[in-house]
Amino acid sequence: ALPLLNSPSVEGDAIKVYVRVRPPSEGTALTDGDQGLCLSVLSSNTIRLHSKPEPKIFTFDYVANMETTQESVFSSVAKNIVESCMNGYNGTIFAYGQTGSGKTFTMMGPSDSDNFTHSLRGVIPRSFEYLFFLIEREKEKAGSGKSFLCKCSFIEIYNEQIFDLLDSASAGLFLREHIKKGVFVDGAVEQVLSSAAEAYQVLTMGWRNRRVASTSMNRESSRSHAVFTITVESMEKNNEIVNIRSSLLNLVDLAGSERQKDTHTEGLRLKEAGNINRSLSCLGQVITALVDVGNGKQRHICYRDSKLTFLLRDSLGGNAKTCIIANVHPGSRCFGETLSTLNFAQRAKLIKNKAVVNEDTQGNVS
Amino acid sequence: AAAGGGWAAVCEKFRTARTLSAVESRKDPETEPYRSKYSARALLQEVKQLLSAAEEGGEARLGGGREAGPHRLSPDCVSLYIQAQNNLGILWSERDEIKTAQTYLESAEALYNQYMKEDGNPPLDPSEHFLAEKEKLTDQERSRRFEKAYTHTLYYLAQVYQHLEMIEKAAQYCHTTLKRQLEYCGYYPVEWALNAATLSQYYLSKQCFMESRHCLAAASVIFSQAGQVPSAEDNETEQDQQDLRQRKAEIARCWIKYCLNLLQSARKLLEDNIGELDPDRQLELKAQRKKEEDEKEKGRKKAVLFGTSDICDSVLAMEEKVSSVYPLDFQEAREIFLVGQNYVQEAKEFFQVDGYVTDHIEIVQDHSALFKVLAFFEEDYERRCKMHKRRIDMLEPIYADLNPQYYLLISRQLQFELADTYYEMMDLKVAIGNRLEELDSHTIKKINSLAQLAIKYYELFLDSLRNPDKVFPEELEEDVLRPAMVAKFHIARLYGKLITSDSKKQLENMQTSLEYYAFLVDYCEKYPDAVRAVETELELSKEMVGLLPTRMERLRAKLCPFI
Repeated sequence: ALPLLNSPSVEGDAIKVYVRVRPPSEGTALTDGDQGLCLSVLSSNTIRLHSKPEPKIFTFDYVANMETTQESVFSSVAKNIVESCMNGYNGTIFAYGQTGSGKTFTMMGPSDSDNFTHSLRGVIPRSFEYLFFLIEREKEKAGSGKSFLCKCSFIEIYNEQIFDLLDSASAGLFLREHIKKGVFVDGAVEQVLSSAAEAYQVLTMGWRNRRVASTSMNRESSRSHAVFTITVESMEKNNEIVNIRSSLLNLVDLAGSERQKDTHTEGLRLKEAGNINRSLSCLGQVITALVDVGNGKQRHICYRDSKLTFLLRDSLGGNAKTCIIANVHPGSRCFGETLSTLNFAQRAKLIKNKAVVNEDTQGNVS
Repeated sequence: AAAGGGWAAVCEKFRTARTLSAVESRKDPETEPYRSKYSARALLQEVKQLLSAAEEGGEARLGGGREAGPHRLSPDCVSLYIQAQNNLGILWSERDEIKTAQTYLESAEALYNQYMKEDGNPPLDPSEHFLAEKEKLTDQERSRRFEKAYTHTLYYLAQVYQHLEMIEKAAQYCHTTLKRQLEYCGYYPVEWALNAATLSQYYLSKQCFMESRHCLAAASVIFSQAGQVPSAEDNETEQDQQDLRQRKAEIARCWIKYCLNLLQSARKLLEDNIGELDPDRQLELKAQRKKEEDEKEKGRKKAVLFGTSDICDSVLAMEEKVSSVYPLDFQEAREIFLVGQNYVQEAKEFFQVDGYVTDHIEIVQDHSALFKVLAFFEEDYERRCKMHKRRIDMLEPIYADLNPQYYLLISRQLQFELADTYYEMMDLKVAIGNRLEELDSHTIKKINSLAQLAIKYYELFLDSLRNPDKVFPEELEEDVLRPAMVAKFHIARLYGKLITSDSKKQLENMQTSLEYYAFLVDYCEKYPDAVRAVETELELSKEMVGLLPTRMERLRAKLCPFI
């Protein structure tokens, strides 16, 4: 028999998971005890965590070691997603990991540089360049028949509240859904972009706002998610037929994973009832978990998903291309967080929007 | 004497530490967020030192720690003991040793029960050890604090059992925690109501309709308090109002699921092997129910009831409005249906399509499901068909507007449901037609057009599986495997049902039908794992693949008798 080949669409739908190991800050490796490292990269897709008594080996789509350059991360992670975005798919890139594991460096680049052309610039600026490069190329190919419109928004989710980073004066915003346009942040500023440089300008402006907010309003940036979204709309005129395509590219800098108290990543700890009157407010989470286990569809759970998962719902499975970059710090002190990051990343490979179709299995056969 | 003076100092320091930790720390400046906590810690360390000195001097006034063992059940110690075990439970869970946490918490639970059985008087609160005689708490306050500590024990146990995947026990402890919150007034109405409503959904999954209804009725009653009690600051914003409306709609949605599940479970009990109502079974169940009613109230006592006196009365009144036993005929089913439909309206008031697309459509889908299951109880085929038409009328316009790029999953669900509904209507029309002497042209037209519409939606569903280059996947993903195969199978059958007097057209339809049956057979040959998902369909398809060519041959022979 012939070997079974996965068709490209089947393979392409799963969430891709990349792990990137940052180098330890200078000097720490020496003081951190024996060798100071809690993991080693075995190959371009396996990593070994020096856990005791048995070491653990994890396999991912790609593992980037400490020497991996920004350019190489971009080409193995983001290039593909930007290309599918041009083909009408929605795409999302998440960076996940504990504070200090290199998420911002990976996504943005070195924090002290506002320079778009810096050789250490991260995934986001490189995605801009590539996206506009593709747009230009497409325009040249199609001539005047095809036009593009790019818009972007930049929001921050902190404490389940949404803030507009492009309009620092705005108060909390809300998520809504439109039957044609999907989920959107009601009232968020949308800026039209005509070049990568312009996109980068908007990004740094928003990033600055994020920093300002984190100091003046007591928001901790390690506790907030930042979501930069580019909408790419193309219009193609073929004789009398107008073909409009639109897709989203979400670039997400997640809150430090060690702060994600409300996700399932936290293991077995009990939620403590405070001493104040309120107390027991997490009981709902316990009950929700009980109902979840039932895994049927004829139930309603009163507690909504978090704002972030709601906003990015389309990105998990379905007709979207998604990848997660799990950032880890190799120091042995970070062992616990690294383990939980790798565990999360492993689970992420299984995430999918299950296409449950209400289908009656009974009767009606003959 | 020196020790006595020492004790006063200990108490003083302890009280100051507590104030610092609980009150002052909230006023600490942003730059030094833990200032008061640090001072409190320093004071507590001093207390500790003084105490251990006192203990060595044989003057231990406090029976804490190692000494407490024999005194567990004394009113002086029992509360301290329970709270210490609660904290040990938390501590061990933080070390990921949930089993150890469990033993501490279960022992706290046992201690509470034993104490209440043997003594039951309000015990001393741990903080009182450090209070002067005249500051001691009232019995009422003691009791309140003691009960609260125990409520926490139950709450932690609920979590422990959930982590240990002892789901039933976890649910039971959640239920009891809710009950105690209500008894000791330790709740916020909205939050409590949502918890109870969510718990009702757990009971649904276990088909415990009486418990589920009780939770929902209590949720509705307690929720109605939320509007009456002005909020703490009493400057309710538009947002708070909006929130409240949403919560109300969420509870309505839990009620919808209740009605739906009750009807669907009844259907399962009543249907025969082709999905129709089985009258023998119906008589049998009615007789059985009659018998049970005679020895009623029995089950009721098993369930944990919420609330005291007047709340309980309101909850019971709420329960009266809808049955919790399986409906066994159309009349009974209709009553539950109507309750469900009312909640559909209520939920839709908040979850409007503009702004809440997913929620809105889910509610409409439930509404459609309510009609579908009600139709099962309807004997008259014409009226049954009209019910399905109602489903079409609510689903079709939504589907037409929906953008599948963002709502692929829902879009597929709607395609499939629409296809299925048309399919069902077509079957009904065929059944109605079979009762006639001869099929009139109107009925034939109707059957054909329903079949065409069913085919259209099944094809739309199948098209949604294609990749951007419009290629149908070689291998289907697990989650769409069965629906896709069923769609193919139903299309095959539908082509077989199309009525035409044109023999050439008939031949074409048979050919198409054959191709779709063959798809199932070929696919399962190539991917044997798929067989499990479509056993019956596959068997019938194989049969048809065997039969159809002969039939087509015969038809061809009739068409051109001379060849």
